[in-house]
Amino acid sequence: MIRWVLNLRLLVLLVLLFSILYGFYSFLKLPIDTFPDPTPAQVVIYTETPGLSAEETELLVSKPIEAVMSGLKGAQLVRSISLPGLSYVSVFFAEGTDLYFARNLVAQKLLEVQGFLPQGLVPRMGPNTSGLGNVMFYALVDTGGKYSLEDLKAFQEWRVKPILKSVDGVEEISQWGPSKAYLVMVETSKMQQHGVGMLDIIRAVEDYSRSAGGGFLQSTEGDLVVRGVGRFQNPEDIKAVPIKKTPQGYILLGDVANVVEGEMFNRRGAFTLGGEEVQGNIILKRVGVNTMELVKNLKEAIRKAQDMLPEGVRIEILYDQAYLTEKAVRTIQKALLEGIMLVSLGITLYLWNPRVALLVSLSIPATLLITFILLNALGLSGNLMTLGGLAIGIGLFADATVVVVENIYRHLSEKRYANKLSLVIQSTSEVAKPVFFAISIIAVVFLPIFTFESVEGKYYKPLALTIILALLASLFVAFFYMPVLSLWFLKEGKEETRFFTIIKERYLKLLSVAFKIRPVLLGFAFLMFFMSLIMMARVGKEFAPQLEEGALLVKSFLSPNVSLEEAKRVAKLVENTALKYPEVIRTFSNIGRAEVGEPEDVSYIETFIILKPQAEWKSFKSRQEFEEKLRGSLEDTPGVEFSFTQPIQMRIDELLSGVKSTLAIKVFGEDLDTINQIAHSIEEIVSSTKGAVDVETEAQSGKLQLRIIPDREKLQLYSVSTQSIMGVLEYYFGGKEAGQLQRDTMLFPVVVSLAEKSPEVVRDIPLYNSEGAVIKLSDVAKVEMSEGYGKIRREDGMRYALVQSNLSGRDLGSFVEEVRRRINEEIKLPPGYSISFGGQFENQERAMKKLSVAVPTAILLIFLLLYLNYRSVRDSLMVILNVPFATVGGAFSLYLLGYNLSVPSAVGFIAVFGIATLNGVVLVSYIRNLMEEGVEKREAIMQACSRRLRPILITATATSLGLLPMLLTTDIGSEVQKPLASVVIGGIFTSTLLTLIILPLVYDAINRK
Amino acid sequence: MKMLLIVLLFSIALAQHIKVSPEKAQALGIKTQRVEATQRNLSLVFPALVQADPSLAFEVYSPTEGMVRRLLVKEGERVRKGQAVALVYSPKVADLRAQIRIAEVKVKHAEEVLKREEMLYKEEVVPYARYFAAKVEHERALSEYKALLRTLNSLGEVSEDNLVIKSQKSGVVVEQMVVLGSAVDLQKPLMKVQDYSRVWVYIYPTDLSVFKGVKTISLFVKDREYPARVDWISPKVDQETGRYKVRLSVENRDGFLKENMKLSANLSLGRIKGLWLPQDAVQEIKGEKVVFLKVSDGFQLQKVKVVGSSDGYLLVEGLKEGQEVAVGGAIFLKSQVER
Repeated sequence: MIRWVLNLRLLVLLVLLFSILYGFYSFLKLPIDTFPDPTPAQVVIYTETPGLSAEETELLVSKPIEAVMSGLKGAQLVRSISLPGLSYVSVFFAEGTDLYFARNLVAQKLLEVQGFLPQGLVPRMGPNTSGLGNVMFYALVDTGGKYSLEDLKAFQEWRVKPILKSVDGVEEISQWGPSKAYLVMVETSKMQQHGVGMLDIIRAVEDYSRSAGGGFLQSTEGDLVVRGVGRFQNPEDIKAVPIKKTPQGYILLGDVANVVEGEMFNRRGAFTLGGEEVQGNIILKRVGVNTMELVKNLKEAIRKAQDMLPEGVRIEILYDQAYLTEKAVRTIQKALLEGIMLVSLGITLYLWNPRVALLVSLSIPATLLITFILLNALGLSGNLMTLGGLAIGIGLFADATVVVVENIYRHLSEKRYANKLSLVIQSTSEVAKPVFFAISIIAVVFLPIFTFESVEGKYYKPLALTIILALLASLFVAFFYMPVLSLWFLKEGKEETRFFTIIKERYLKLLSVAFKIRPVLLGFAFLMFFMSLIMMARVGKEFAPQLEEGALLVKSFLSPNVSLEEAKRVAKLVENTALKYPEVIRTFSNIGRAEVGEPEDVSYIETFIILKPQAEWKSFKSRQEFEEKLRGSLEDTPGVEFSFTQPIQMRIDELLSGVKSTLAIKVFGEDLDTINQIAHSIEEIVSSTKGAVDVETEAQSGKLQLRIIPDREKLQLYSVSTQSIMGVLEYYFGGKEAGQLQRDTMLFPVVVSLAEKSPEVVRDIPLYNSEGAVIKLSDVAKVEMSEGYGKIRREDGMRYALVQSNLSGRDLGSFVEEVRRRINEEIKLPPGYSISFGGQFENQERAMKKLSVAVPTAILLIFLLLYLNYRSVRDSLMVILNVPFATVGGAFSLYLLGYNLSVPSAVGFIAVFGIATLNGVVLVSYIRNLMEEGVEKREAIMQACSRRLRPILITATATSLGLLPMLLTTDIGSEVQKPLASVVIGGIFTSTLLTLIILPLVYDAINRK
Repeated sequence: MKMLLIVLLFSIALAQHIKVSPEKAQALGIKTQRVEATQRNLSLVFPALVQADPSLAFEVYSPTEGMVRRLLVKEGERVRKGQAVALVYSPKVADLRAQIRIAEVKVKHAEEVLKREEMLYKEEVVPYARYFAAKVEHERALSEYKALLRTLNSLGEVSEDNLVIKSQKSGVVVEQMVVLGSAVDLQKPLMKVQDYSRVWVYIYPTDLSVFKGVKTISLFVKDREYPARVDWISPKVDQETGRYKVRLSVENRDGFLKENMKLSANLSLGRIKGLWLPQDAVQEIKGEKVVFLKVSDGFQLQKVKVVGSSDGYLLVEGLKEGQEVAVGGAIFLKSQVER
């Protein structure tokens, strides 16, 4: 094999050249993303239920939809939120379900569902976007002060949206701000005087605004298109609509109403920038589209759209997700580059030969380039996880090459072979088996990670896959390129550097001392392991460290009965508070919902605070500190609860558990009042637990309603139909379009409304009965104010109330433990009621469960491989000793650096177990070989230690140095990899130390030969 | 469960003091207002309809049959009392005038006969009987003449053969019933004149109790004030509006109120002095009416009693003058308390 490679060396060189070029090409073509998108296959079905209360929506719409959807193939979880006027059902499919397949299934069932729903309600599928779908925020800003928000919204709707929507990958654009409409403001007192009914006006507007096509007509002039153009052109047209003929003449619409250009009523949201309302928009991307590319295309499209706008109107990009990706990827790239340099430098220290060092250094980029080719071929994107995997493993990728090249070099220096070619073949083949074995051990430990599910799976599977691919690539480099390159390039030289010679002498002295105080050292090692276990228990637990996004998100929860105007004041307050800090670049908020289909109301505000780079921060050092400051200055705002998070983090939280915070406690049960009461007492428990911040119980009840309940007897008496009452409500209060008005190429709705709207006016609404008499609404219906439910959440067919909390200065694991204990002690649940913990915590629990299987599996796999290699349980067990050795360092570094036990740190443990075992393998194999050659035990141990010191140190140094840049940087994106890096570095340090000192002692003690 | 409720209630009771800094209050739009005893009109707004007072209407007739020769006023014109409004050619007048002329001649003739007979009698040419007969004849002719003149005069002013028709009172010609050449008589009036110095205003209240015992009230229409009097309360409910119907008799001082005018009438039923607060200052928490009193570092919950309301203002009891209460943005304070 090696001979064959060397014989075709020119070809190998060509392949090398090709792989470098193609690798570069692949690297440039690699789609870049921040994260693997953790969104599960999820389909949202929303149904507008105008006029229905939350309870009715739940009963008539959400429940039937849930029932049908939960029976779908692959549907695992069905959640729903019922609001007054909106039902929002999300169906979660099993992992790996093709989203388009899932959407198809849902689409088919929607037809069936339609049959169960009250007439006129149409369930729709939500946009095919994901939690990370909010790729870009932009606003239309009028610098000239000429245009109203309604005008800007019209520009957005008719000019900007079509251009941006045509960019591939844009699923939807949610647009905020008031829509322009022509309002027919009816004065009820005038109507009464003229004897005009509410429905007369609607009918008049509808009748007089029709347009129709009349087909074609032949004439002597040619073929004519016949068009009936009845659409209104200006408000005067509408005013001139006749309503009713009287002996005195026609009563025109203008007699009883004023027609004005204004905003469409019933708006449930607004977008503010720096405290002032603007016309803001959010671009939602389609699932699976590359964010970086999309944002690039969007920016271009925005430039194009800008030209379509009148002078003075500017499109301002407020936020795009690409910036985070750019920063995170840049961090990783920097870490990679620095890693390569550090590793090369470290190796040079041991192998003081520039040619060897150059070859070894070269092996890393060569490995990476091949990996890029593979990644591209597999369709993986370059993201925080895949690139992070490369950055983590950078030291490992040199290992194979180090061993191969070092062996060739050693043989060269020893000048044992006359023929360089056969020398290279000989020395390469010599190490082939151990190297393959060693690399496969590292690769194998990553295999259990493939059992991960959900988010941790979506994050860490690519990481594991990338590392395995890169390890394979490194083998390819070591055994394909390196022999050829060595043949041409390597020259004999001194075997050891001075630096290494000194180290070796010291080490051997130390080892002989160690033999004398063996019991003490063994005891010490045991003690250390024991201590590390204690530390592990004391280290906090969390799912994953938070990615620093360079932006803050403040959520404000208001009373369900606030008006949009009042909500805007709160948004302004939050934004102005944040803008006092010079570190804040800009702030913007979205209040409630943009258009239909989102389950939020004006009582909910999300405020984005975009920060300057961390290096420029002066008033505070960390995001947590800034959060504390904001929290402090907002605390005494009456009637508002605030919660702090980050934009992308919030989306991920929401996506995974349906809530937008770190910990969510769900109280399941049937009776809404009871579950709300339980939720409130849980809220008290949570907020009195140390570390809890932003504790909030979602206000489900207390939404004021104005109920209009027709009295059937009176309806008969006055011969008024329910239809006419509901028609009036639908148009005058629901804002149903009565006609359209055309301005240039834009169409605007014409809606009827009352000049003055108040509960009293509603009571006095004049209705006409079939006999032509005027009757007031309150004559035939009960008009009463009452409290109803604002939001009803369900999961898997059960209602639940939600207590949410964030965390500050404490790890999630212990916090949840305490809360759980206190709830168990203090709250007695009635039968039929239950509590579950969700939010990020859910992920953590699931991940920890998986890890508690994955880590032992990894160790077992290592043991199996060792046993295959040694065919000796005793030797295999001895090598496995490195696992506790590595645990010691990993645990210490986690504890001392203040990181939590999380998925990345667990992955770090898995990795370091593999790497550490390698040290043992190298040593034990050598001792065995020597002993087989007949060397006496103690002598064999000493010799092996002396000979194998260099490869062990090189591997350890290379791996640690490769991780060092990641550990030291504070740039965006490094947070996620830091625990992993710290575990690996710490673990390698102790395992190397213990391998070199304790392992020989143990070997000596156990092998009595 | 009960324990839970008690804990909840307790926490609500404790939360009656709300800390708010002045900047926050301003940012949230919470303004304060001093509580002061003020006078407010207790006023009610009704849809109203102006109608003419039929007792102030009259028709202009020609006293005898005839034919309209000239019309001196048009419909809608204002007329004064005694103003000539039309000339009516009446054959009766012509006839009368002819008769009068004949009667005149007759009288002259009889007078001459009488003079002659008197002279003859004095000269005793003729017997007394002849003189007496002439005297009787003369007196008859004279009285005939006088009777005719009186008949003519009774028809009013006459110009030649035409009657000059005059308006009996001041008012507005609301309806012109004839054109030139129309035949008129007592059955067919020439025009209708309406006096609008006083009008009827119908209002349609939902509640009659406010009118109990009230005789004189003020009606405000676009800041103009008109003295009014409750004239009549309909025993029936208005069929069209389904409301009560009340008639006011209103002095239309400036003539602004026009017949058939539909307006929103603001009725002032008197003035009430007390602590009037804007409606949004008073909130309802757990069925209790409360206001938020300004204290040094925030607001304090205060129960009040609402005893009256008028036009967006509530009359409250339970506050002292000089205290400051939150108006506007009170929902933030309310939800803080309810939390």
